[in-house]
Amino acid sequence: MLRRLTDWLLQRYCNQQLYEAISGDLEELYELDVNAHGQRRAGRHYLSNSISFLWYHRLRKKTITKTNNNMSLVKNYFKVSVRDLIRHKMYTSINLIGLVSAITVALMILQYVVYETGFDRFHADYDRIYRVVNDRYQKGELIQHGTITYPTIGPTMAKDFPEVEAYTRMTFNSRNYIGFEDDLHLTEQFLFADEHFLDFFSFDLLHGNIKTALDEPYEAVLTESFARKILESDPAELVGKSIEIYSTPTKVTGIVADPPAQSHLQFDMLLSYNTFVAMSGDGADTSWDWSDFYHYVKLKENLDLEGLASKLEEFGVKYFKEGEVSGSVEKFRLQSLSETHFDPTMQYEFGQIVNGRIVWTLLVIAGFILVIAWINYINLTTSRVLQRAKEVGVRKSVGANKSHIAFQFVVETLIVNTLGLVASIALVWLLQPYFNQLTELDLDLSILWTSELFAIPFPLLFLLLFTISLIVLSIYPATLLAGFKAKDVINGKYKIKGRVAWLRKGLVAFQFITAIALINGALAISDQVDYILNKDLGLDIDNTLVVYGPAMTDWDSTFFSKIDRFQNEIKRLPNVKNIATSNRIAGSRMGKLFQVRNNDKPDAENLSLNWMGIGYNFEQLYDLEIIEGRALEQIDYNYSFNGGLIYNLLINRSAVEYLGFDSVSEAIGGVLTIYRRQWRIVGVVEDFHQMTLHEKIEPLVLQPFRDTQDSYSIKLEGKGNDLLLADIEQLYSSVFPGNYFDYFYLTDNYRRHYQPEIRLSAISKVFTVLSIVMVILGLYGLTTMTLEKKVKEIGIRKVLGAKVGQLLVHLTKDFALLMLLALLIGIPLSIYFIDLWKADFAYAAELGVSSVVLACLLILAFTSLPILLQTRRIASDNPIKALRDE
Amino acid sequence: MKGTNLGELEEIVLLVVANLYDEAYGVAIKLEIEEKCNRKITISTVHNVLQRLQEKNFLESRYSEPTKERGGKRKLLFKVTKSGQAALVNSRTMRESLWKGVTELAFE
Repeated sequence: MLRRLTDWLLQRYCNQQLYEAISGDLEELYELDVNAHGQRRAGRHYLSNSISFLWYHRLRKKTITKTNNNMSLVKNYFKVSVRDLIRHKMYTSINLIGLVSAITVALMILQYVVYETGFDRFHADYDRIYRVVNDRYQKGELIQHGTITYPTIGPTMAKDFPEVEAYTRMTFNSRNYIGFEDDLHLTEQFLFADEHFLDFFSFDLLHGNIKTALDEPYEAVLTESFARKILESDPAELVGKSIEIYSTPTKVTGIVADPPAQSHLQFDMLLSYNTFVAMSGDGADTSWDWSDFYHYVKLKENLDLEGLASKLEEFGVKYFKEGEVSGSVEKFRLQSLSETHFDPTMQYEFGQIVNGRIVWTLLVIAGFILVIAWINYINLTTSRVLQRAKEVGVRKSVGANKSHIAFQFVVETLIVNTLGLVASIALVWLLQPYFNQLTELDLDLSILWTSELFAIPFPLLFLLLFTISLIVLSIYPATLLAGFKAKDVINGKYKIKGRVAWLRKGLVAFQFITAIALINGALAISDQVDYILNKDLGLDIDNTLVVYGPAMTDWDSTFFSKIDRFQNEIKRLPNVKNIATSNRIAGSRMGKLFQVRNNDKPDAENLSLNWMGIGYNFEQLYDLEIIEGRALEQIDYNYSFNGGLIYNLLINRSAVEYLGFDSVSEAIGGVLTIYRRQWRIVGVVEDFHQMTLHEKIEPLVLQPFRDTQDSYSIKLEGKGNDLLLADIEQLYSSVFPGNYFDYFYLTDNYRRHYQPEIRLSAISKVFTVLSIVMVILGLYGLTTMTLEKKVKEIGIRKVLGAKVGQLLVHLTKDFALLMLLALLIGIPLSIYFIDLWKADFAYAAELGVSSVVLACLLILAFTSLPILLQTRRIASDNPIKALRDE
Repeated sequence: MKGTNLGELEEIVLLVVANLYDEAYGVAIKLEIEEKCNRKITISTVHNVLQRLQEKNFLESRYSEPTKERGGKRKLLFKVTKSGQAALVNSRTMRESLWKGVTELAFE
């Protein structure tokens, strides 16, 4: 195909007498190349060889091609445009800088947007796959909006609803160890997936049987890279072998390709769901009140989704009987795969999720920056219309009609835009490493060509966008210019109508408003990021090292003494202030108790509270404030001491009212029934932020608790260092042999949760600076050109006695009015959008009036400075210079 | 006059055409140069030089009979003309006379 095309090119452009010889030679060389290097390389040589023929004028066609009048016209437009662009360097460079920056930003943001919207599309039935999500209500209030449901949901839906074609259920676990031969290997995340999983989704099974791989208990399918971690040589050899997990031999039944980066489900390994049932009992298969399970259903094609939604409502009522079964009223909903990746509100999320609002905001901002660049282009071009009028007049008098003139400006716009596009692509290519660092993704331009956005293939969309930008940019200047009458121009009687000036002012005002909104937005985001990083959480997370618990160590009678030994030894290390265990770590999600009753209110309904199991000293280590009662003591951990009937625990301030106590002091001594056991409240702690500031402070129960999986929080004197860490690791491996030592700093853990906001803050700052620079450049160009036309007016005014100050006021008052108008519209608008954004946080910084005022003053200063300077320069010139010419 | 002098590449091509005698066409010339002179040359350069030599009247060309090879396309065969021969001889005698004047000392 390519060869036929090149041959055709040769035939068309090559010297006619030589064509046959050359084409024959090329053919012969091609065959030699095919034999020597293979078809692909031969094809490339053929192409480069043929093209090189066109280089030599001797070998090109001698006769001049028939002159086509239109062609030569276009050539002339091209020539004139290029000359004009070169002659007006300031104008061209302002336009180009603006366009290049805007297109570069747009291309980068689009890469990101396209990446995010491309999530999960590799599944064959992407459009028909839904995740079952679930809302729970107690006392009419939403207590959980989550992804986890009961193990029976998927199978029951498949049985009850003919609309459901297939389903799969799973649960997940993270950070576990696989034994193979003598080594342990850490898996970051793995799924217990049922026998339908591989068939249901489109993960690529490389070895093994897709129908039976996950049928039996103790069967595992490993991802290729995890298998390679276990057995470097050939992952396929692992199939049929046995690995050890939870100290149980498990058979490897398959190898699956690593989940694509654009998959919200990520895993190192799939264990058969029946393994989980075998380990945890039949409840994992049949329970209606144990919710740790995730379900996906595939619907038949072309369904009435509304109808199904109401059926789901009935489903919740039928099986959960308004709270009798699980303690809460259950509502079920189907979440499409396209929603799943963009919904950050789901609790118990285990997939890869982004905040969809941030993605769309970025896209909109990129759009606005493009518009700012376009406005610059339009304003600068229309303000130069008068300079081009003579050219148009001459063209018209030799017979050009309106469409000819308009077409010329389309050509000119095309040149500038193509230049801008090419430069942008080069710039994107250069900046890509920095952008990837910022997004922590591995992106490049190629993702754009293979993706689609709004169900349109991206290349088509881009072409469309480019065409639209061409039309937007050229249509107004073109019609304006084409409207001049040749006769008027030649007589020197031409001017542009008032409408144009109004349009220009409107566009400038729009730019101002955008800039104000952007700068306010960026300041608010940066305020909020400061706020969330520095807010007093009610617990002290600084200098806290968290070491993962020794999950591989058996839970037996010696375990408590091991914990004590480890803690005592650690405390003896220099620079260690304190150590405590806990089952949950602040900043991560809490556990949840669903069936809690206050014994003083016997007829009350079941309540749900957040739960945290803590070891001795936890309150002290995190500096929790005990507002009533006492902290937990050693004796509270020894359950058998107080007769095994009533145990002691703490609650937080929010829980006091939630549980129905009238005051904090009344709560002390109160007894709670938690899953049929009695617990006495011995202390109340002040509310602290258990999770990130995205989440509200919830009623919380702090129970004395010790388990092998508990993490160790170690409070340090100042920052940790390698030496100390090495000591801790050594102690850890000597007390808990066979475990993998791993740790993190608690502040980093919080920071990780805020990464999207931190990133958005960085990006929005870049955007703001960029847009302001563009607005300034545009204004500078615009004032320069308007003033050039007023040089004589200024001269005359000066001769008649105007002072420089008066002239300044006269020349810039329009601009000042415009600025005022923009402020009036821009400030409320930006406050509105900032409030929308802050809805993502349960705790947000107050919008500082001072920062808004500061932002506006900044904009005012930045934009007026170039205008004032430029105006002053011209106003203070000697009027003789301006008036001497005539 | 510039036109009648032989450039280095022109001389090589001319000599190769003479060498190949009845089989001197584009690809053969290219391969011969690559083999004998141990240098890479693109087919388009070969054709360009051939055209230049033809313009200078050092070469003449004719199309061969069509064969089944090369997609049935004819070869353009080149032959050195009398003036081409003269130019080659001329270049050679010029070089030899120059060589005669070189003493071995010059290279020390």
